[in-house]
Order: sequence, then structure tokens, then C-alpha cells
Amino acid sequence: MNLETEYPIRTEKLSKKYIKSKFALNEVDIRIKSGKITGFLGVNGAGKTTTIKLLLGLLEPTSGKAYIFDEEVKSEKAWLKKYIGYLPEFPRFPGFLTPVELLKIYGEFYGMEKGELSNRVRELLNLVELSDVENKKIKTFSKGMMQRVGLASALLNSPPLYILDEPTSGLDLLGQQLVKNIIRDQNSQGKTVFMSSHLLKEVQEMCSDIILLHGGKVLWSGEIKELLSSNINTNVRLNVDRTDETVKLIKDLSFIKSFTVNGNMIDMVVESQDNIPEISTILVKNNIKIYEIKIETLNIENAVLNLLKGDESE
Amino acid sequence: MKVNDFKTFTKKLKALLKYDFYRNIRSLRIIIAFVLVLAIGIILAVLYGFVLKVNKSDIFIMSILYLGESNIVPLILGSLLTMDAISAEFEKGTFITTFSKPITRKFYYFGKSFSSFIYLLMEIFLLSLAAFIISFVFFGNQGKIDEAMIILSGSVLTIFFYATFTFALSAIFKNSIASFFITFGIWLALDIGVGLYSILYGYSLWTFLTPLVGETFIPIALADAYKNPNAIFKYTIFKTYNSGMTNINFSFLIVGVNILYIAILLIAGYIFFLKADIKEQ
Repeated sequence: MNLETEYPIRTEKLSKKYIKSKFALNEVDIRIKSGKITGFLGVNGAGKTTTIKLLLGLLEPTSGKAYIFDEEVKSEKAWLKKYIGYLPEFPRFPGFLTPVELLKIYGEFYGMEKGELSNRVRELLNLVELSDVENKKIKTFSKGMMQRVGLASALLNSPPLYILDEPTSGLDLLGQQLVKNIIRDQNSQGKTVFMSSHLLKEVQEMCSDIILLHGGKVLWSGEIKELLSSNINTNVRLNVDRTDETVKLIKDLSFIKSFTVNGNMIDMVVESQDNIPEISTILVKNNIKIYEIKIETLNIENAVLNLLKGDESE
Repeated sequence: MKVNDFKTFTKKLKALLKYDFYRNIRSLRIIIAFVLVLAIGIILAVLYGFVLKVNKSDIFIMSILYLGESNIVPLILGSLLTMDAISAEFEKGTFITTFSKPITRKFYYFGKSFSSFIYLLMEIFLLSLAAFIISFVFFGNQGKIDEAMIILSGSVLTIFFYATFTFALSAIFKNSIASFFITFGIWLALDIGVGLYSILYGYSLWTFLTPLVGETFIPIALADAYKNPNAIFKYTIFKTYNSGMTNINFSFLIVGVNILYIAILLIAGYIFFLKADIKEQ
């Protein structure tokens, strides 16, 4: 056990095969950097939830290993969960309990002392804005409220690592903002966050790193800025006065992948944004008036889609 | 086990007991079962005393005996309490959050069985107390509390057996209703089958040791062993069964075999529970 490790989460050729099905996870190697917020992306059925369950010891791997703070995950090592705050995608809690009762019982599972636990429960219910319903039974709660209870339960013993499965799912805009702020706040305290999400904009907004899982394999992993600046084509739209002449000038340029003409508009796909000054220089030299150059900034959605399409075409 | 480990263990166990306390106290099903059995207890005490005019000193004993002897009562009492002990978590998808906390499946399973036994004991205690108070109020001092306690301990074992049977099924099938009705169905089939066989061919030793049927003889065997330990155990319905064993030996056998059944059922349920995938709903 090493809380100072560079990678609080690490897997080595982690695989999971369910009975009578193909591999849900196939030799996955991931490393989550300490103190960072890492997004875990993938289409439905990519293997995200399976990975998370393997990290928590809720499932046994078919082969390979998972490590939390350099300690190999085994179902019998329940004590490892003291160091993980987990929020499932669909948090479900016993409906006969109130949030106060539930959090106190969970706190006792962590071995927390009575006085400390009572204060922490009040503090957390305030934080997730459930203080006014603290004595109502959970069975009367909406999905969003359940999500807040789940978050409070994950934060209960202030662990150094959070594994959050779709943390803003089922929340309204204010709820989403609240959860994002809590995650950022925990990260600012040096906590590591590993969160799965299908909301790519949310991931771009919150995370510094991402792991993209597809078909049970890691398709891409690294920093988001690296993904966005990597060698992925850029879309450019030109509005010029003489399209025919423009086409003649640009058609043989090696960095132009394709183009289509639509009236005065030329839509091009170029290798990178760095090619645009060269295009404009050529056009200006040939007295072509440029009314507009519109660059479609590559966002994470396009980048991920390109990766997924690329993987499927292979 | 170190002192700190022990403290943490007891804290977790207390948390599990608290969890089940809320579950039981807020479950309409458990309250209905409790009221039902309590009502039967009161009705029987009144029936024995006023209608059947049983020897007054036996009323409390007979009221207690119904707990273990009547078959259906221990089944209702035991099975209704444990039918969802494990399966409810599978059905409601709450295991995933429970097991994201630092508790093992072993702790959870055996902690749950321990907690079920504790709450069963509390229910039995309250029911016995009610039967005792009624018989005491109407018929005065019974003077046979020791014999009643022996019978009661036999009834407790009978109820524990039924509770464990359903508890294990709850872990195996992950379905509360199925656990209850499978217990009920097997009991009904065996009871009718063994009953008919016994009427036609008489009782055999295996009749007394058949799971879900033989448990009803535990309180009687213990009562006989208490009153006449060295007499030969005999049982008469239609035909007389002579065990060839003394009452004390027979009671040891039937109690020992049922403790073994309980252990086997608990372990079988645990093996299935250990292998079960924890899924989200």
C-alpha cells in the first residue's frame, strides 16, 4: 500500500469474460495519475462499468491484475475500499432508511467514531443540499436526490481517491453544477478523481486526462490537450470571390485532404490549423479576395468520434 | 485478532444489526407476521384454558409448544423474517453501494445470519412473554417455568432451522418471494409425503430426521428428555414408534442433526453468495 504512488489506479492486462459472452474487457492497461481528474470514456458496452467493478473488487478478473495505491485488488481486501469513494451509475439505497441513518451505518462500516460521524453526516447533507429532507425515507427520493445521497456516501470518510460512474447523471442543471464544484473542490485538495461520463463536454470541462475504451480495449489514453492537438484533420470554410481560380491554386497542395465547392464557399479538410496561413498567403498573392475563413475548432466530440470511426474502419 | 480489529469488527456488526433493526421494524410484512403469530398464541392460550379446560399448570407449556410443534408457525415466523435477508439487496440493486464500503461478503453473509437469529430470538421472546402473561393473568402461577424453557429452546431450534432454510434459498435464488414459496412448497410436499407414509407404515428414525418435517419433534423430544431422561423415546400417532434410544440420547441425536443441517444450509448459501455477480439494476 503506497498512498504516495504516482498512479493510484493501475491495471495490467486486465480482462473479464462473462459466461457465454465475448470479452467485456480485453487486456486493458490503464494508469491514472495522482491528483488529476481523469475521464473514462466509451460507448455503451465498451467495458467502463466492468472496469470500475473490477477496480472495486466487485467482480473477479478472468485474467490480469488491478492495483489501487499499488495494492492488488482482491475481493477479500475490503479494507482497500477505505481509500476509495465510489459513486455508481445508478445509486440504489435501502428505501426504508433516511439519509442520516444510511450515512451513519455506512460510516460505522468505515469504523468512524460516533461524534465525528454525526458531524460529518450533517456537513455532507448540507453540502449536497439534502438537509431539509434528512429525515425522509429514501424511497420517496427522486433519481437526482439519490445521486446526491450517493455522492455524500462517496465523500463520507474523505478518501484520497474517487471513482465516479456518471456522476451528474439524473441531475438538473443546478445539481450538475453542484456536483462538478464538489469534484473540483476535492481535486483541489489533491484527491485523485476517475470519472466515467458519456457527456464529452463535461469531460472536456472537468478532466485533464482521458481514457477512451472501445470494444473492451483502450483506444486512446493521455492528456486531453494532447488529443486535441494530435494529428487530426481540421475543417476550414473559405468564402472567396473567385472559387474556380481558388480551387486551381489549392487542389495540389499536399496538406489539403479534400474539398467541396458550394457557391462562393469552399469547405476543406486540412491536416492542421498551421496550414491556414499558407493558404491565405497563396490566395492573397493571386489577388483573390477572402471574405471569411472559418476554422472549425476541434472539440473533444469530434476527436473522440474520429478515434472511434478510425477504430471501426480498421 | 488485534484489539483494534476486534473493535472495528464489533462496530461493523452493530451497524449491520442496526440496519436490520430498521428493516424489520419498518417492514409491514414482519409486523403482520408478528401480530398473526401473537394472535395465534393468545387464541391457543385462551383455547387451552377456557375451552379445552387443560390442566391449568400445562397451559403455558402448551402455548409455548405450539411455537415449535405446529410446523406452519415456525415456518411463517422464521421464513418471513429471512426470505429477503440477502435477496432484497439483489432485487433492489443496493449491493453495489453496500459492497463499495469496507466489508467483505463473508462478514456481510454471516453478519446477516447472526442478525436474523438475534431478531428471531427477540420475536420469540416477545411472543413467549405474551403467552406467559396471558396464562398467568387468567390461570395464576404456572410453577412449570423450567419445563417451558426447555420446550422453548427446542422451538427456537425448530424456528432457526426454517429461518436458515429460507435464508440460504434467499442467497441462492436472489428472490425473496421464490425463497419463501420454495420453502413452503418443499415443506408441504415432504409433510404430506412423510405424513402419509407414517400413517401407512408407521414412523421410522428417518421420519424424525427428515429436514423440514423432523424439526417439529425437537420440542417434544427435549421435553421428554427433561422429564424422563433414561426412558425409551416412543412416539404414538396411529402406530407406536419405539426408537430404542433413551430420551436423552434421542434428543441429542435430533438436536445434533438439526444443528448440522443449519450449518450445511448456511455454508451452501454462502458458497452461492460468494460466486454471485453484483449487478446494478
